[in-house]
Amino acid sequence: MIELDNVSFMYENAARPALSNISFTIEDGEMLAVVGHNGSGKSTLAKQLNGLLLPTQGRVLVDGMDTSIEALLLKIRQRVGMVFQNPDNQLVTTIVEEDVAFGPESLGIPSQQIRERVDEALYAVGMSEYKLHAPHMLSGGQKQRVAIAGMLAMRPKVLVLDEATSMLDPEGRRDILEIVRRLNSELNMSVVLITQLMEEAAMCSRIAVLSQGELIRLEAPAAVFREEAMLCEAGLDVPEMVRLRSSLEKRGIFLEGEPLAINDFADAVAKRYSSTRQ
Amino acid sequence: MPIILENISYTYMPKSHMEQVALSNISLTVNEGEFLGIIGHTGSGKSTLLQHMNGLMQPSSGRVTVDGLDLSLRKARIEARSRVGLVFQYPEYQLFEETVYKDVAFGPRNLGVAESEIQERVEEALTLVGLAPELFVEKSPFDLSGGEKRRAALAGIFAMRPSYLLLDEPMAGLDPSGRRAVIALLQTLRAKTGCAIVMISHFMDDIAKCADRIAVLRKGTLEMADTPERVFSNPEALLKMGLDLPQAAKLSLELQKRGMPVPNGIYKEEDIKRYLVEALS
Repeated sequence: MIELDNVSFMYENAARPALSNISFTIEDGEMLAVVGHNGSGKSTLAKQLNGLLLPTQGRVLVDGMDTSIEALLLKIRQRVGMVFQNPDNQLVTTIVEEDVAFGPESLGIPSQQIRERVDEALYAVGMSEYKLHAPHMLSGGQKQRVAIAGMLAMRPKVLVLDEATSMLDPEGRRDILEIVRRLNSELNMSVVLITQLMEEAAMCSRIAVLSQGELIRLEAPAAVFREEAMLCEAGLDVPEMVRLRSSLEKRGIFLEGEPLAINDFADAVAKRYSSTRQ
Repeated sequence: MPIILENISYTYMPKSHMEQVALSNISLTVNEGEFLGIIGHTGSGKSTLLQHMNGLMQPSSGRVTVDGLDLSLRKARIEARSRVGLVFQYPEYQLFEETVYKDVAFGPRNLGVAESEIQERVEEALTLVGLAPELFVEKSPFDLSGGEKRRAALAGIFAMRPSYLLLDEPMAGLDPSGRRAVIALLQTLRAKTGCAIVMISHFMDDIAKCADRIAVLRKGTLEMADTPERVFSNPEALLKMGLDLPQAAKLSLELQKRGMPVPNGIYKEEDIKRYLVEALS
């Protein structure tokens, strides 16, 4: 559990705060999306979650541990793993398995256990067969999988992905999302997914909407996407399926439920179609 | 006149143990005024192909001509670069001047455009990208927001008044409103100047919105160059290549699987919307 208690943050010499008075809790095992326009404070928020940045005001508690207490930082960073946008900036060694071992090694874990953790982490992201490869020869999606494995080897409770799919091709994006969903549902790992893609946000259990450093909504996807005007105002959008549904509704055609995913939307349309034909 | 790629191949580090074929036997024409989308898996050769279109890279074999200028000749390359503007990924990292004005003026000045005309071009380009000249010309590019920087960088290329505009992932990293703005911008640019656009993107929905034709690359070869209807009507092939379908096409496919008579070839949001309204009324 990560609690943000009235967090504000101001970069040095900035004209206005990057984050203002943000309070909310990331629950154990939840999958939370964070969306917002460029410059809304998403990445700044992400960096508060494991003490890479410290609040100028307020505090962040990771399982009760205050990120401003330096002695706790190592423990906090072990619990909250981060994967960033650029796959080329995160890998530090010349062999994939060494890269994954880097985190647990720095924690002083015995080498036998490191071996197990590395194998397990690479298996979890489907990269076992690449363990002796050179990271710089991998595709962007593969590099991000290795970066995630590096975090998994620390056995974190929370995985934060800061636009981790934004530089990937469609297949790379699909792979990462699939892995993240599995870690969330099978290992009950909390996931914070920072994204510009509303379709990705729609897969999460809750969506936090940031605008100009403020948290303006924190609700389930269906509820957030009901407010198309608010989202547009905040520089965002609704998923295509929501737009289609609302244009049908304007013409008096109502579908059952509030389907966000394409499959669910297709189910609802097919159902409505067969009922109009009877 | 078009850009013509005739049977071009490109090999990185030939005859070394790192030798890698990046492009192999590609023939493709970019017609005047068309919007050509380029899609492909990471490493399929998209960016390499783009950089051949303005002579930044030279093919190991084959020939590239721009409006009849053979790019294997140095003089022709210099001439061609004023006609073909290339925008790299994350172009905002290439802003470098003290003011937005100087940055946008850099390209035309390099082309030897007269100073009096440069001002006109800078103002025109900034207006086109939605940065009011009176507010922005004196600003430092480094004080702009991310979206504004991207637009300023695009203005620098527009100010060269290219006949062909090459864009490598222009929407990457932008928020939805930024993406909408860039798409609208490209459409305005085309309407106003009639320039051809070649755009690489991983976003199939953006490609679906803009492209007249799509080139599909796979491991350095050209798999298809065809209309969006045809390219997107072959979902298995695209998925196998690590690509995807626009959402409207995915939805059509799912509806067909559920027994609805959705016509083939729907890939745009407005088309699936029109169909749904008719089918469900």
